[in-house]
Amino acid sequence: MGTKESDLRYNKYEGAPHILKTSNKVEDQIGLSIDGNFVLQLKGFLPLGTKKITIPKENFFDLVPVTIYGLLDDLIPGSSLMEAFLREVKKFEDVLKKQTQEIASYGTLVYYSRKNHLVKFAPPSWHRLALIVRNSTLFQDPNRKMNWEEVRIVFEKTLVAIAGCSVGNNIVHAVIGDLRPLCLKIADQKEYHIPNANRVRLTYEDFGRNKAVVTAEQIHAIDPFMKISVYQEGLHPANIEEFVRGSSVIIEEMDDPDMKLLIREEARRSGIPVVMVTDLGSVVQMDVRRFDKNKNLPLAACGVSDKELYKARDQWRDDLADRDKFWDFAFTFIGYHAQKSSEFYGIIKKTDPVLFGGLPQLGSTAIVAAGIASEAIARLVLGFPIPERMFIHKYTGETGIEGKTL
Amino acid sequence: MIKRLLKINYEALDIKPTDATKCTKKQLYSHLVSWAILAPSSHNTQPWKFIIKPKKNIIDICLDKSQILPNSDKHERQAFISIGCAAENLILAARYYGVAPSVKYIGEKYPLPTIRIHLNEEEATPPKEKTKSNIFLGAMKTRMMNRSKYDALRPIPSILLKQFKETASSFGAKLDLVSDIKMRSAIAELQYTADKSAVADGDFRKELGAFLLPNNTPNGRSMPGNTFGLSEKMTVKLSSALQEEGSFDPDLAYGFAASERDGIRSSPLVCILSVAKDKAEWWLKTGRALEKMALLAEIQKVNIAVHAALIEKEMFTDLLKLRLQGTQRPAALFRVGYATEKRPHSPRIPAARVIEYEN
Repeated sequence: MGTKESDLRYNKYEGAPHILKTSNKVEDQIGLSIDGNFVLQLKGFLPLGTKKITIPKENFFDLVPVTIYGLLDDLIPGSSLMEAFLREVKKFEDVLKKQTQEIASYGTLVYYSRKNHLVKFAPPSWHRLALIVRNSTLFQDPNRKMNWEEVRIVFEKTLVAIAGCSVGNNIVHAVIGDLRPLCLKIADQKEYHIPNANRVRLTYEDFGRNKAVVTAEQIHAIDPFMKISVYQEGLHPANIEEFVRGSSVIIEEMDDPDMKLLIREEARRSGIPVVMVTDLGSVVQMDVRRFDKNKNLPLAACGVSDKELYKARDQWRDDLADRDKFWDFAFTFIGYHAQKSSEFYGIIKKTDPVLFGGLPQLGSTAIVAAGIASEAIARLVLGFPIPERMFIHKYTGETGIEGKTL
Repeated sequence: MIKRLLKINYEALDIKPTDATKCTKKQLYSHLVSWAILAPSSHNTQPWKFIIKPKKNIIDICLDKSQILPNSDKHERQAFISIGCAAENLILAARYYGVAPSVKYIGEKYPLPTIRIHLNEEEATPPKEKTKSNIFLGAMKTRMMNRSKYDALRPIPSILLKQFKETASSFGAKLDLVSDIKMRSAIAELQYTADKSAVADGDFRKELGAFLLPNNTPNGRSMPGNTFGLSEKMTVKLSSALQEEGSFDPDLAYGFAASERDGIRSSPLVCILSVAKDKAEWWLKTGRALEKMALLAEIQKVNIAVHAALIEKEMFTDLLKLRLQGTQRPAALFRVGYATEKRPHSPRIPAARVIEYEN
């Protein structure tokens, strides 16, 4: 899973969570001060070196009880999973009985340096189970032959690589909610600005910061055990191969036409499928390139040749400011379903008064797009055939599929 | 008539080294100015006038107030930097002919000197072949600001980086060499927003529109669209839209900012020259350092392109300074690399039109 280069990036971004090592002699130390605050001494935590950190008691969050309550609620009494869980709960109760002041006595402590927060999680396997328990068995393989554990193994081994964290942010949250893989790659060189907030869930802390880093932080806030490779420099010709290599599926949500084509070229060479969702006003469109099935597929869906695509790209690149050429390229790439969303089409073709710059985008469409992409990815890795292109109109309810279903 | 003007506008590039031993002082000094005017300038305004004083062995380079851009260069920084660039060409050419120059930074405007170049009284020497100075003269003729994308994967020769550092240091400037892609991307995004901010200003747009002209413009102080890689149709559309009152097409604003951003992002190296004081003398030094580095790059067949918005938009300059964790003020930002497209030269006002003689 992953590649050597991207493995080196795992959780290396500034502010990434530090999982305390308390199980052997080379351990991080955690203790309580007289006033009830926590004193942390981290070993081998490279950004800080070995030093003492004081964490106010109000910055401590214990997620163990809520994990236990949730699993007690959602596991089935008498099932093997519940039995195993009850044995785990017993360990927790034993610790409670001892009434020890030792905070590290049960669970996994995680230090979040940016906020100076200390969080106690249930052991990783139980914590991650709690995060997907409500998914139940809603995802099964096409022949329904795999059991739940086997499906989980498929999902955990799925390395999803997301390029572009605007709509991509919604998609990544949908994907981790549905699949909860063990590893992710996230790339974006841009920062979040306030106008992003209509389609991305952000707080005041996130603005003006790198999109890929913020997205990784959001994921790590509830799952510090996920290995995330963050490409905050964005994708460029020097790192595209590293980004693509080893991935199971690529979600492409970038603006740069050169990179949109380059990532597909690289994915095609490596036989990795590419999923792109586009929000077109009230219409969501998804394009899927099954390079895992056929390395000779054109880069764009539904019969557009590479030659036509490159030509349209080059014509626009020669005149970046020419929106007509941009839309010629875009329509060559994704077809003409934008016309189904009349307001959107009116704005982009400038037949309606244009009051604002930037591409018009609805947050609700971005959320729907994320759901569609996530479902497709889950189905794809389980072996379902996926249509080359599909669209859904949120208001009229019109839907459709095009191209081959591979 | 237009054809004739078009020809005149590019004749400056036909310059060849002369036999200085056969020149009068007046002729030699005029010849030096012909090299000076090949320097780059903000919006290609060529805001210079040269007052030649042969009897005093002086060439005064003066900032022509009428060519200062009131909207994109509110502090006149870019105009002074342009003068510094011209001065560096003149100094390097003087060295080639063996008339060792000494430089005085005065900082006034025409008719007073901005920079005074005092040339020694010894006799000029015959042209020297294959000297360092000779190479500089060749580079002055071929150098241009190439604003196309660069090859991100082709590294800059280490000898050039060393020369850049030495050059900046010799002018007392701090040079940040940014090759890290994370930092370059961050600067590229900052540039994008700074450009969007610049183009939001109607007066800036009008000013830019007056300089961004069709390829066959007879105007010698202009930036023909093809130097930006724009098609003729787009140049006309953009120039006209820039000069119109009222709202500006957001797609054009996007294209303008995005091409600058993509340019920086594609470049393997971004350089920022920072100086101790935000004052005329330091802007002139910045200009000299910038042109010297541009010529050194040209000698290595490496391209550069200057981006001014991050320097002129104070809010963004502060953010850039913060990113660089520097204490000095950024005065020039340029990207360095191997251009992916050839671009034509910008026109030049002939030397004769910017020279005055005084006894």
